[in-house]
Amino acid sequence: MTEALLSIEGLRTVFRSGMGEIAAVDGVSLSVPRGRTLGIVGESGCGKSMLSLSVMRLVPPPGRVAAGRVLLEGRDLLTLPKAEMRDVRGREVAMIFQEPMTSLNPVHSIGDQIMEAMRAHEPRAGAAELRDRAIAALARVRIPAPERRFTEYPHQLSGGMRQRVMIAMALACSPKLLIADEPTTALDVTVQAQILDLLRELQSETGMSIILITHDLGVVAEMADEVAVMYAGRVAERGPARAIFEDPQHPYTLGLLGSIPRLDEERETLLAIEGSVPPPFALPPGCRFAPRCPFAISPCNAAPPPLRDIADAHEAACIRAPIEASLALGNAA
Amino acid sequence: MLRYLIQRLLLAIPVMLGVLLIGFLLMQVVPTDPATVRAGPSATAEVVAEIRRDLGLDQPLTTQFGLYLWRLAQGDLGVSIINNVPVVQELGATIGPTLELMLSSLVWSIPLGILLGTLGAYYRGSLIDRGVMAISVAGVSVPVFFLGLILIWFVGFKWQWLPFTGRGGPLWTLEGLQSIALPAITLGGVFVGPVARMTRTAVLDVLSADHVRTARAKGLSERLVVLRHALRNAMVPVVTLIGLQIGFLLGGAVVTETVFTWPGVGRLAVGAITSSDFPMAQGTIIVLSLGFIIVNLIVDMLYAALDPRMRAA
Repeated sequence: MTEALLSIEGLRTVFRSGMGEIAAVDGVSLSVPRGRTLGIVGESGCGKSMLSLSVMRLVPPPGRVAAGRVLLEGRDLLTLPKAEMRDVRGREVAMIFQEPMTSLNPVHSIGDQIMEAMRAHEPRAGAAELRDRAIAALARVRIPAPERRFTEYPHQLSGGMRQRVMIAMALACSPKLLIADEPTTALDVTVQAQILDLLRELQSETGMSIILITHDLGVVAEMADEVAVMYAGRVAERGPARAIFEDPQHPYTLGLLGSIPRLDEERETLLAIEGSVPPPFALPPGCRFAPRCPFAISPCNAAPPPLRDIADAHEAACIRAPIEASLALGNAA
Repeated sequence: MLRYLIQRLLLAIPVMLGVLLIGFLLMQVVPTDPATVRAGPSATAEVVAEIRRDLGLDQPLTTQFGLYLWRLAQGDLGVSIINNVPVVQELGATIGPTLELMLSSLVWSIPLGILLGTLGAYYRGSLIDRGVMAISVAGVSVPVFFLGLILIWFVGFKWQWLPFTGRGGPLWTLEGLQSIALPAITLGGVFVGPVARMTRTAVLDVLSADHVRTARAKGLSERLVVLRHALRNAMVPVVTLIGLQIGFLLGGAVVTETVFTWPGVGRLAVGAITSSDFPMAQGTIIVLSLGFIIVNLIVDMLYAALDPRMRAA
């Protein structure tokens, strides 16, 4: 396995609320290999966005990171002084967001916003140099007529173009890691494909690592080298993308895969996972997926199952994994 | 941009006409007869009738209004029926001190309001925030005349720190500055509260916007995030509020000028109305409304400068 650029260890992000502390991310450990893509999949509210904001230390109050370490090349980002963390943002770890419509400031020109990102980390760069580099950054994300776009404002651009601008801005200081939080969710399908292609091309050009957060398994299948499936604030299963898609071991992953429509199979109805994600203030004591799990047995409700090795680098947090073996024993529900 | 400006200017014309008509009609419904006022208490009925003919008051209303507009177009606002001084001359003498008072009220109250509101929003829920809210609630609730009287009583009369009647001279002289201090504090004081409140709300709103998160993710310092991304975007609603509040400021100027015997248009208006000096009262109404219209034009221009999305519209 390649050396990890970023490793997250036992991360716990909590929100204080009227019902006590709610953990949006609860003991998550993950690692992102250099130059590769980690896909984080899960339903809305599973904590995947909070996980990424925790890495950036941008969790909105009243949320906070309560425990864990986020090691970027061995340096714990969570204990860095504020000024140093600010220097990490944008320069070493950059982020793009789901809503290209609202993620750019409507009152500043595209060029100003890109130059601002550069100036934050290179205060001594001259205006002409920044301008040239910003135009080059726009050209790099395949924006036609970058000189003209440079002076335009976000409202003059389409959604796909705005996401390209976001990417240009994120890559302006050549970060080692790009966190893409649902980068294509708000876009048309054809534009989605273009943006994903672009990300892949830029990755091979720059050698950066990518954390791709999405609820779209199709996007993960296309992009990710490694996959982590999250459920209710925890990692349910993680491993190489191929292993996750070809040999899923956690019942939740199985359920997710079963709910994708496919052209090569004739099915009358899609499989859906029964029930819904438990609210964060009423989590079951054992496995959080147990109430919805067709394979659940009574020990599932006793204690949260730890991640266990299933195969090479493939882990699942399920006491019944590997599922086939359990089913072969004939004790399925 | 130029088209936008011309559009706004054209829209101001009907507004001004409406103001003129309402000002004119208001003077008609007042039960006092200007001819009687002018003739004095001992005049005979024939004299009053003659004066009425001279002033054109025996003509139908439409003719009178037409005549009024015709003269106005030539810059003739008539003469005071109390002392025969041309209205234009009186207005010319009072408009300077009023502008002086307005500007010296706004020049400190708007920045202070914006600063307080931003601090309140940034340190939301803290003691600072609560202090800002207390100040702004007090500022919104205290009437202009009350603040003026309090300042006169303590600062002017009891402690004798600053003069509190009249205008000591132009703004660039020491006497001028001393004499304008209390009126400017009074008039500006009622402005700080609303501006602080609106700024706080607007900045709070922007601080939770996605693009502010983007700005932080770029690694910008908090100072830049607040100034360039939160405050800059929050300025549109704040400017709107300031434009609307200018109307209240004009009303406040009338009160402030009266309380401090400041020789401005507001005091002239009060004097003209209480002495039934109709041409003078109409003249002051025109000047004050024109001020309001001009300020709103400036506000419209500021929108376009502040928000590029407005420029296309």
